[in-house]
Amino acid sequence: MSSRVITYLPVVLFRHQGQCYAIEASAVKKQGQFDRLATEVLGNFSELFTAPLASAESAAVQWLELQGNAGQAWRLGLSAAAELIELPVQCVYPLPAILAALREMPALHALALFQNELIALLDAAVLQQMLERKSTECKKTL
Amino acid sequence: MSDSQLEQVLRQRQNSHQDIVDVDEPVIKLVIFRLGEQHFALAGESVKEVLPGTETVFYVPGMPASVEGVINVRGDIESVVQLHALLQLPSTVEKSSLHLTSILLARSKHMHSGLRVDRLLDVLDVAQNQVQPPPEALPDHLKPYVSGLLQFNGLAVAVLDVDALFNAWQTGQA
Repeated sequence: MSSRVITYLPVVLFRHQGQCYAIEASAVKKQGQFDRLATEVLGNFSELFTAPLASAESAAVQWLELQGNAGQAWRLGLSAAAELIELPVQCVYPLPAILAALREMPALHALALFQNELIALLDAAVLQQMLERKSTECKKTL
Repeated sequence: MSDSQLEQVLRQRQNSHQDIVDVDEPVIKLVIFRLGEQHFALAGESVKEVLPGTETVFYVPGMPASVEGVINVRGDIESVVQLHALLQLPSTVEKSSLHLTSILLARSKHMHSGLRVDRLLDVLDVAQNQVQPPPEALPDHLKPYVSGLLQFNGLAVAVLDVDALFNAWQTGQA
């Protein structure tokens, strides 16, 4: 079996409250325009930062369909458009140990410095767990 | 009768000789800095490099307030954290005074990070016996992190144990 040297990492990039986030493109199956009446999402990315049904600026405008932990797909709502980019691998860094210990968002997996901007690389599987937990908590409070 | 100036000079000279480090005494290098109104030191061997406080820090989302972010150090990234919260000191770092601050690239056996300090004061060699054990009266919140106390230019300087600092962060005590 030949091992191929990876030079670029394709990621799906999106913004939230001025910060850049990305999910490895191999975990993303589709993307589309959010329709409040027709789109079912596991959760909106903004819910991880604020209470659900918060401000209009955190309302979803797009969705990403991601490969789920148990094989089935799930959808993530985004408050801004997402785009596919290729990150040169030399821009990608593991999370420094102290940040891994202190992170409040378990899905934060790695960092990239690209075009003088920091990109937080997220683990889609952990993100799914976080949103499922959030969704369960919300149901309990209702 | 008051001392003549000569006698004062001779006394000063004698005192200054007493300050000279005995070469047979083991010496340690200390990086002395200020955090708020208090003075601290780290062992020189645990500080790899000192960077200016004006280095561009990239904010990392999803981190506690004590984490400033990361900096690019010659093509690699290094985290930057503030010691203030851990040592229960008020955070005084403001954008307008960033040029006065420094980032110490500190390392322990298992971790490393940039530590923002309000002002770097000195890097000096001191005789090991000048570092006294931490006093009983040391506030409880400092006890886990202070390994010794040093008198420097009339100031009490608490020598910090970098392993204890990193360990506190790693185990979520901070």
